[in-house]
Amino acid sequence: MHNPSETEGYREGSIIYTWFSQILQQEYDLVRRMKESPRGHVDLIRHKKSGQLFVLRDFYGNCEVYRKLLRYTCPHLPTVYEAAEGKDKNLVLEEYIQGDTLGFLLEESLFSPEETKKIVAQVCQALWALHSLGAVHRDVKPENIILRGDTAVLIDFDAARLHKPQADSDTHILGTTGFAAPEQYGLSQSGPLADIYSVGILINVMRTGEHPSKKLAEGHLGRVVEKCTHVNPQRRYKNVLRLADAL
Amino acid sequence: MSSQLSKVCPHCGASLPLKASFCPYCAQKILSSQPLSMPTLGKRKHWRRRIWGLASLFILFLCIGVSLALPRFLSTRALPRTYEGEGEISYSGADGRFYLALGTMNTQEQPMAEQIFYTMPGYDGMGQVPLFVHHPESGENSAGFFLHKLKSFSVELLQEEGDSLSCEEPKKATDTVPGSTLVCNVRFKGQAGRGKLLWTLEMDSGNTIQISQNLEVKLLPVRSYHWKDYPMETMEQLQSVVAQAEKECAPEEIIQLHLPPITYAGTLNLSHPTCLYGSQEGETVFQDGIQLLWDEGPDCYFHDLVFRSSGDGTGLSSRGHLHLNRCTFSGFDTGLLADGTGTIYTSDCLFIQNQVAIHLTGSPPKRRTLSFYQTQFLQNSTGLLLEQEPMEVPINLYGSIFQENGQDIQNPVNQTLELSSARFF
Repeated sequence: MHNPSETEGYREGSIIYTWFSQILQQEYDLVRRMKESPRGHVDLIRHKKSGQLFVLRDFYGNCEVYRKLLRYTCPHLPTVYEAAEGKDKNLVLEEYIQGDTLGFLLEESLFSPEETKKIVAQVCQALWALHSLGAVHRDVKPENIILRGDTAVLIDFDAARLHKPQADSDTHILGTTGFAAPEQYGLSQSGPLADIYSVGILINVMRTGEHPSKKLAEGHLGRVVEKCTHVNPQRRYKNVLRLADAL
Repeated sequence: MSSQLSKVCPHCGASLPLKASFCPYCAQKILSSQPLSMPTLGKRKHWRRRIWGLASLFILFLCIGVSLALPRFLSTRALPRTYEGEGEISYSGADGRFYLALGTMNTQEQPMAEQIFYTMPGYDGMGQVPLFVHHPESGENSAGFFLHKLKSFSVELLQEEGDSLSCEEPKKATDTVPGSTLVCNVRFKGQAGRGKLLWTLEMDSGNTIQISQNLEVKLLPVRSYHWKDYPMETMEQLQSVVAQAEKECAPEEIIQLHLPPITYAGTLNLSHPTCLYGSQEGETVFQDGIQLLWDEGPDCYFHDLVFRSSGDGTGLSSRGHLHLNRCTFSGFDTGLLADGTGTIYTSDCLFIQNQVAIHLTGSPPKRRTLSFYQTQFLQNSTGLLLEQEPMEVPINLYGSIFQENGQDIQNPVNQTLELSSARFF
């Protein structure tokens, strides 16, 4: 009888998940729950011995992007320390980024052109890193950008996934309304160009507080926004490097 | 935890699973990581470029003036240097300014620091790593100019895990990867592995460009069912085994069915990515065809199957990505129907006495190739009927033979075809 067996990688992933889950309960304290949704929850935890803070994500779905980021670092992305895949759920431990989100800061005031260019250029660096690993963020918005001093950090890859060009349409519609590019609403597979669309919206919101359909930013940044958000993905900037250069 | 699955934290000495990246006891990272940063050469603000441009012109005229008076070996050219990048790099030398990117066959010029190939145990495969060269400002394709300035090039595959990867000498391949400068074919065996493909480009100026891409081979999990272990003597039994397999397997697993030398009546329906293997001890025949009902998923393979009808119906309809090897289709209205967003590859197949041998319809990915390799189209009313969304890359009919068909190829969509190695009688 030919008995199907699990792959070695799958078995090792389950071992790490179980072990990691147990050790976290022993060695870490829960500080507070940061987010809760049907897909899982995000906790701020503290290492008992050192007092160091971490973000722990416990969620259903795909953690391919986090597993990729284990091997790389970028100053504009949180460091991923561990990504354990269980049978149904995943555990991801990442760097806690302290600072205010762009969303919070925008409640007070808009950003100047120079400030906008500087911050968005850093967001482009984060996206470049993700795209060069074959990942797409899919949820670029002010609430997912934290300013740590002078450095912008792009967080929350919950909607991110690896972009497999030979695969067919994504089966789940994720992303935030208004920031999600048209092709993310189930029409065709979202790719890096969808993130460029979201960056265009971001620039406009940072300058005007509004979606470009309501009020377009003036001047050079307005033209950049238009090119980022063109309804035809092929008419947008080809990649974030060209977008960063345009800024 | 067994000793086979454990290692020791280099910081605190705690015992950890082998694949752990982090020690939760001392809260320190175990796995080393590489920095990812955007290239910094050639992508700066316009005013800096203008100043450097003017300065370069001044220096150039100065050099020309001095070099006219001094012997040639006192030339003031800069010393040769090496430019290194992962996935992409901007190059600026006396011989020109270029932006180089390593992509994949499907992502084209999108720079990729890493590429993953998926395979199954027992399957060898091939992928491509194309090099694209553009002007850094205008984005214009600079392949021709770059090749003119290129003195020599080589690639090296540095194995990091396993030895399943190998590479071929890069060559021009604009027919399969439009816009590319050079393409390196990478071959891999049916086992996991990891490596780095390093391109070394020596320029006429003496400068060297080294650009690399990390490669990984991942095994797709499979679940096998053999006719000697599961009853498959009738279509009802076979469909029952399929139902069991589809229930038992995980979403990411591929089902492998090893079939007996039997003639099946009735249509087989498959809803999950499945590979079929016809018997080597006799013919495995499907009189009423097979329907593949999945849209997404990995490439699947059918080997050594006979589709033989008494005069109507469709032999095989597929919406996903399918490879056919040594299969025969005869007597159908349509031998092979490719619908949906998938792609079809045939190798050493025979289509004989069908109304339409192969009918392509639907919307395959624009930049993925379809090919019919050494496939015979014999005595069909129509050999190849192309009604799909046209793709940007030509359909390749390498080594295929069209003989005594009513019409060899109907192409109302004006799909480009590579026919140079096909034969028509």
